[in-house]
Order: sequence, then structure tokens, then C-alpha cells
Amino acid sequence: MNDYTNAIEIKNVTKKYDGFTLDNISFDVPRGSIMGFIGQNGAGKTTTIRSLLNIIPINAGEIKLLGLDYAEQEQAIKERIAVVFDELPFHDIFNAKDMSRIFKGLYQKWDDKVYESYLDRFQLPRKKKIGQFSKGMKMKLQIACALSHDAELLVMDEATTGLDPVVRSEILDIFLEYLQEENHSILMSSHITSDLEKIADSVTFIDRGKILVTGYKDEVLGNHGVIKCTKADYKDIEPEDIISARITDFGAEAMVSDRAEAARKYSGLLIEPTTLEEIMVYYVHRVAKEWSV
Amino acid sequence: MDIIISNASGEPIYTQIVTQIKTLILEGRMKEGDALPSMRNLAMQLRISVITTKRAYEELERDGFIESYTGKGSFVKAQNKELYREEQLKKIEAMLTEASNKAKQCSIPLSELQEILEIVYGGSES
Amino acid sequence: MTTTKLKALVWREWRICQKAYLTGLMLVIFMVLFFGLFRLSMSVGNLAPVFEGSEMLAQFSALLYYMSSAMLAAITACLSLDVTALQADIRANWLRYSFALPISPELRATSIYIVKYIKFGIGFAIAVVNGMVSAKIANVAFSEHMMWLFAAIMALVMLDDLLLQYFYAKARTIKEISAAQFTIMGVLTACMMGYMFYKTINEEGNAETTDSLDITINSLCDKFISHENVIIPLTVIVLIAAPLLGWYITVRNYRMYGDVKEDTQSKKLFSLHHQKETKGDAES
Repeated sequence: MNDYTNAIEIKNVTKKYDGFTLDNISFDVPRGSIMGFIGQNGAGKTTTIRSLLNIIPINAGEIKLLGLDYAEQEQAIKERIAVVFDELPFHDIFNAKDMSRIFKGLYQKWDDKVYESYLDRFQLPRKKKIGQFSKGMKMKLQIACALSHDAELLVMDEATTGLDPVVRSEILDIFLEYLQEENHSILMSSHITSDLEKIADSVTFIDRGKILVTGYKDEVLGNHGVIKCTKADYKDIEPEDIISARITDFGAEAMVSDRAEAARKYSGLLIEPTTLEEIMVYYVHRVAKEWSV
Repeated sequence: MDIIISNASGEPIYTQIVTQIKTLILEGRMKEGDALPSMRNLAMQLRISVITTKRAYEELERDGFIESYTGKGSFVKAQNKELYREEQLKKIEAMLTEASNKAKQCSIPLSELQEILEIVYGGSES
Repeated sequence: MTTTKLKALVWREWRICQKAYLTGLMLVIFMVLFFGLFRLSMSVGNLAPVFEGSEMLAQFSALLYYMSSAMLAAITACLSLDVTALQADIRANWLRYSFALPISPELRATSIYIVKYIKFGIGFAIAVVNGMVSAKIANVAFSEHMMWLFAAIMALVMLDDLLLQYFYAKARTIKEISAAQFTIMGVLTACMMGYMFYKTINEEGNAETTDSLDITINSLCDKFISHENVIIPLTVIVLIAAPLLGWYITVRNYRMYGDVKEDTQSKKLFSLHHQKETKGDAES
């Protein structure tokens, strides 16, 4: 096994399509951490993940997974990673036992005992056809498959979308458990920011093919804030200091990316802490600068 | 070991952890050499980021409350009780100053104040 | 390690088409039995008195012998095509997921072709068996020309498959795939029949024009046999080249798969996902 600092390293990656470009994106997922990859639908999250998996060729840039080049060592890398998508990628006619038979042949490190223990834990029936599973069961089955071959990196592409809060909470706990190993890392792309709000170590925001923010979640949340003030006061705020502002009939709410500085400069105004969701929303409106209900 | 995090208090989470663990150690509920939970385990149980727990442990180590060894974990360090006592005395003095100021404002005599103190102190002795 | 991976993939491919293929096979075997029993009854069974000593018997026998075998060969070959495989894969998001697994596109293509050719092999075997049995019943010798006829039919179907693989690269919806399948099959069959018809009618327009079914069939056979020196080599070439080309095109399709912006793809396949969601949401 090789040594590496970052589970994922993306440097200056560009991918051009007709009408959409992944524009010179860079970010790292440190080993042993969980990175929340946040953005709207169509922002470029899935394109990025496809690039990682070498499903699509990139026009420029470098990608390293587990310290290895993503294209040159593709097969070796894929033995050591697991990907979970939003839909169970198996035909309805298979059952959980069939999965084991297939994966045992595909992965060198597949461990049936671990798989069985997950099936027990998730209370998934062995012989029932997966076409009859509920959505939550399907996701749990995917996760059981993902965690049974000693994968060092888990990539989740919108995996929790469409699940009810109870199931999402259970799954979150499973990821936290997965992270107990120091060499386990997770890249989780989602637009459900509440899942990542608590447990993400780092976050990366992507919008229209560009990375807007990337860094430790606590820092990102600590640095950003929302100024809440009257419309009159809002006029005194310099546009370069804010990301964007939401104007209502009763005042204005403006997002700043340097809360300490804003507190100093606009000392009379109320500045509140914010959430990842708010950050996403305000950044999305950064071009228009001002928006209202 | 009980740690309770408030999301609404406005106080950064890592600060809350630092304060609570310091209290546990100073009040003797955690003794010298006791093992702290691993940063990852704490993060998992409290459902917070490992970065947060790491930061808390780093501060505790900086302030001399714990010692961390890679591969082994973190352990409580022997505490200087004298220093703690002095710190607490300062706090008590400040509180009593406030109490006596308030008393003077409402023309409450010292004797009454002393009575109240006796009752309160005596009452909570167990 | 590659062999274990290949085995796992082959097993997966087989299991997916198993039900449909075996059902089709059952039908074919039923037809084989039906033809056989019918012919038997014509000579030794209940229908014997009717047919005894008549011309019809010989003709019918020949008909059964040649036509049924050829038909069976064609049917079992078509069963091997399995248009639904790609549809099922898309619907199940398997294509997308397979890129995350430690399997190369070459391996995936190989597993698909192994299963395809197992099915072709089974089809060929059934056709030969049926041919031999019908020959025995009809008291005719089973000629090796029949085997080449079967092989030629198989080759045609493989060509069809090859064209389909090429088309799959462009097609993204089930409708397009089905349309492609029918068009190609239709065109190939029409060409073949048209050619045979044209030949038979034109060349022997003046010969003994009896309504005898037997003679028409025989002349078709003669046609086949006379052209054998062209047909046999062609068949062999197709049997070797088609799978190789098809494999190559499949690999290329896999490599091209991802290079469609997600939205365009999901828009076209969206209806598939919708169908799926309204079906399988039953609670455990």
C-alpha cells in the first residue's frame, strides 16, 4: 500500500462541453477526512466525479486518487475505492446473495463476512429480489456492497437524495463509523447541505463549473456571515464587501465572506452566523448581486 | 464522561468541548492518566467534524490539561491545584463584588448580606 | 484475477437474460417436438391413413425438414441477440456504475460476447438436432449442406448484431434501439428473400412449372448448394470477423459513453427512470 496525504487531489482540471465548462477546478480531500461537495443540480458535481472515475476524458489538469494517477493506475485505484450513486445499479431480478457472488469475483479484497454482517445490521433479506426493495433498503444495500471490500475512499454522488430523514440519519452514522479508521476518506456530493452541515470536515462549493469556496467547514462557516440591516444602512455597504444581498420589503440581508472584517467596518450592524445552505444560495446569486423574494 | 454541545448558544463548539473537559478535570471527575476518547470517536458520537475535536484537544494540550501521543491517544495531565484555586478565588471575588454593589444600591446592610451567604453556603453543603 | 472477474461478469450477463432466453428456448423446443410428432403421426400415427402413399407426404416432409430447421436456426439466433440487455443496463444504471469497478471496457465487452456466443452455440445445436431428427423421420439423409445453411443464417444474424452495436453508440432511448433492431432485421430479411425470389423466378422461368412444393424447395436448395462456394467462405469470414468487430465496437462505445453531458443523457433516459420509480417502491 502506498503512502499519501490526500485521498483526492484535483489540480487545474478543465473539461469542455457544448454549453458547459468545468473551469480550472482544484481541490483536495485530505486523507482520513470527509469532504462535502456542494452545488446545485447541473453545477458540475457529477461532471467532476465522472472525471475522477475516468468516465470522461479531461481537457487539462491532473487528478490523483490515493496518491496514484487516476488514469495510469485506474484499475489498481478502483480495487481500493467504492462509489455509491443515487440509484442501485443492479437489475431488479438479483437478490442480495447474488451481489455477493458478483462482487467476490470483481474485488480482490471482498469479504463476505463483513458483507453478511452489514446485511444483518440493515436487516436486508437475502433472497428477496432487489426490485422489491424500498428506496431506503436499496441505498443500504449499495452501502453494504461499498463497505465490504476494505475501500479506502468512498465517493458518494447524491446518494442521500430522495431518502427520508430517518434513513439519512442512519446512513450518516454509518459514514461516521467508517471514518473511525484513519485512512478512510469520503467525498460526498450533495445538495442536501444539512447532511454535511454537522459532519463534514471540509467543504467545496461549485457553481456553473467554477469552485467558489473550498476549505475546512468550520472555517468557512466562521468566515461567512449575513448582515441584517435596514435598506438605508444597506446603501452604505460597499458592493465588494458582500457576495450578494437579498432585499425584502422590510430590509436587506447581505452575505459577507470575511465576518471579522465586516464586524469591524460596519460595527453598528447585526451580523449573524450562517449555514452552508445560505452560503450556497447567496453565492449562486453573486452575479446578479441583488435579489428579492 | 458527559459532554453536552449546544448548537444555539453561539459559542463555538470546540470552545464548549474545551470548557467542559477542563471542568471535568479540575473538579477531579477525570483523574491524572485517564484516557480521553479518541478524537474520531468523540466526533462520531457528537456528530461533529473531526477537525473540531482535533482543535479542542490541541487547545487542551496547549493549556496543559492533556497530553497526546500519536498511536496511543490523549491522557489527562497532572493539574496544579493551587493555580486553579487562585483562579476560582478571583472569580468568586468578582461575583461577590457584584453582589455587594447591588446590595449597596438597594441599601441592604452587610449583616443581611452575610446572613444570606450563610444560608446559601450552609444549605448546599452536602 | 481477470478470469474470476470475467466469470463474475459472465454470470451476471447470463442471469439477466436467463429467464427470457430460457422461455424462448422452451418455445423453440416445443416447436421442435410439435414438428417431429406431427411428421411422425403422418407416417406411423393417426394421420397416416390420410397421407399414405401420397405425394403430399414427401413434400410435407421436405418442407418440415428444411423449413423448420432453418426457421429454428433463425429464431434461436435472434433470441441470442437480446436487444433488451442494453435497455436493462441503462435502466439499472449499470453502465454508469461499471466505470467505478476495477473492470476494463475490454473485459466487459468480452463477457457480453461470451454469453452471446454461448446462445448462438445452443441455437446451432438445436437446429442441427432438429435437422437430424426430421431427416430420420423423413427417411432422408441429413446433409452437411444443412449445417452450412444454419451457419449462414447464424452469420446473417451476427451481421445484424454487429450493425446494432454500431448503432448503439448513437441511440440513447429504447425506442431508438428497437427501431434500429427492426429496421436492420427487416432490411436483411427482405434482401435475402428478395434475392432468392428473384433468382428462382427469373432463372427457371421456363422449366417444369409444376405447383409441386417439393420441386420449388429442391430448386431453392440447389440454388443454395450451387452458390456454396461463395456462401461458405463468406459465412466463415462473418463468423470470425463479426464477433471481433462487434467486440471492438462495444469497447469503443464504452469509452464514448461518458462523453455526453449528463443533462442531455438524463433528459432522454428520464422516462425510463420514471417508469422504474412508479413500479418498485413497495415497502419490505
